[in-house]
Amino acid sequence: MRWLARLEEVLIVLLMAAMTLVTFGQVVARYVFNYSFVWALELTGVLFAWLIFVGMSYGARVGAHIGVDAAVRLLGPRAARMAGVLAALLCIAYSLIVAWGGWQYVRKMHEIGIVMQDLPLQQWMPRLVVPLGFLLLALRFAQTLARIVRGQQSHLLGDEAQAALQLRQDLPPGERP
Amino acid sequence: MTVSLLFAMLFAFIALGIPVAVALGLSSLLTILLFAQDSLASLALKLYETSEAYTLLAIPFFILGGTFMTTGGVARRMIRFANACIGHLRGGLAMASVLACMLFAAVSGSSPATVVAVGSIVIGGMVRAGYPQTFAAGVICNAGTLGILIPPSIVMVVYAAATETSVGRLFMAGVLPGILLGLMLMAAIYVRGGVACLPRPPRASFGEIVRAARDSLWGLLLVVIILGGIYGGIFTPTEAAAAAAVYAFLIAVFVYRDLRLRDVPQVLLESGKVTVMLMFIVANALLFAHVLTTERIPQAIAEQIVAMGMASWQFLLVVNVLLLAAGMVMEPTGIILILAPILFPIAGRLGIDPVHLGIIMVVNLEIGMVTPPVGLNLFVTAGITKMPIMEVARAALPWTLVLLVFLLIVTYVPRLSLVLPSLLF
Repeated sequence: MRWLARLEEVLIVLLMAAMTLVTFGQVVARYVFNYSFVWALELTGVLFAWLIFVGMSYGARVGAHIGVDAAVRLLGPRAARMAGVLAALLCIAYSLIVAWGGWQYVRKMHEIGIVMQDLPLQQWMPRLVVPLGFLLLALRFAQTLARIVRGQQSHLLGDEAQAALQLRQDLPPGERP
Repeated sequence: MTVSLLFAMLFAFIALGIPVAVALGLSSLLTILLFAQDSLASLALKLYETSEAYTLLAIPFFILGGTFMTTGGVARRMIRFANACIGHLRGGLAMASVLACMLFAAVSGSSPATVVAVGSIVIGGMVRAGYPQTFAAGVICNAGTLGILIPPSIVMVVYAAATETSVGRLFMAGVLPGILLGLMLMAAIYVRGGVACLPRPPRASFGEIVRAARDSLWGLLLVVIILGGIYGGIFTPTEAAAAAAVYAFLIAVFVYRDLRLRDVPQVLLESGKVTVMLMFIVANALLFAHVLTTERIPQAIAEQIVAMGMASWQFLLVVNVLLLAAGMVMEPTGIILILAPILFPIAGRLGIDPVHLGIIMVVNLEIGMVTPPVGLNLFVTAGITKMPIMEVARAALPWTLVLLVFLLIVTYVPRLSLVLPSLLF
């Protein structure tokens, strides 16, 4: 599983960089070389889609998806664990429903066989990331479920405040939360 | 009926501790599966289409630029400049911190990021200079909300995408209100500073002001690139955001040299994480909004309100109360995407400018960020200061009253928001 986690991270870094550079390059090309890449916009859209749908499961793994834990925190440990299990099961159900819908969609696109406007690709190819991404998301939520059942984790929410604090300036990088 | 079930499921899921994004998506999916004829495939398509909204593409770029600016020592230089300018006045350090928040808000589109970037330096500084910690924390917690009012602003980009309003006009509309709010906070500090006997550091020499200004100039140029570029028609807001990200990278790594080249992948990953968290909510909130529109909820509410003969000032009052309540318990992006499609058509019928409505929503969400139980700025401030959250909330309250007065001004003086965009566009 380590390789999968690493792959997610590398993909996110590359997709972020590529999106920025393609969009910026488009501006430079237009003004400096008076030339514009017709495929730039479509490519950026595809990269953005991949960033979102590959990134989701990374977000679930590192606990980036925020929620409201005010109600759950009022519960006792047993009830909180039950709520955690139920929440994780619903998250898995959600991921599988969308993965299935995404798969149906990709299959339909594959049958029709429409090509993309500017990129030399069939439309179903970039959209394959929807079923793949949501399957991966289901896997990550299942891992969270296992940790909740084993009592290693209490809930599946991320903490946006904690994430923002990683950018604080008054501590050296090693000591940031 | 369908709608009450939709909202009931949403609230139940959120209360159960399901991430906001999944709660939005799952409640929409279940509602559609139970009551509508849409196929699952078309719903998956709906989620995928989020990535094709060109306006939303600005979000990852603004986040990336903001992260480079935060880690790249830009905030520190802006604080030095602000201190050199007004640090010697009564309550000067706190006023300079507000000024630093205003400057940083002009390069960052996020409120918690502004609190972290400026607050992590100035709160400790104020406490060392003899300010009470509650005073420092309260001021920064509120001044940080300027992050989403002074352009660039991620929340405005989301509003623009939800209502098809121009990002450029919204950004311009935020400038004057942002400056006014900064000045109001400074005035409140000046008044309270007289009572609290705050310490006053010596006045900075003119040479120090010039040196500090020159040093922070690179960061400040970013806002010129963004606003000037959009207004001058050089780029679209999305391209401006990408250019800003590249510029921020160059400044952080090659000019200020506070960020090493090998730390850049970490910055990209960090920004990617924030982007994904936000966009996952956006995608699912769009699905939720799609359910609302297929059920014709916005139209139904609009007709009801118009039939009630509500005047526009009454409607705006209702909007404010609704948004303040929602802001206390929900996350800003979700609120915008759910409520903007509902409020937007009504506002249109009552003759309220969509740009003005956008600014009103932004200011309400600012207040939502500093009010418990769910207030991101409170959490972040608590994280920096190690104060308990409720104590931060109490410390923030007096300054939040300033924000409430400001909200009334913004709501009932549309010219404040609209004068710049109508002059320039």
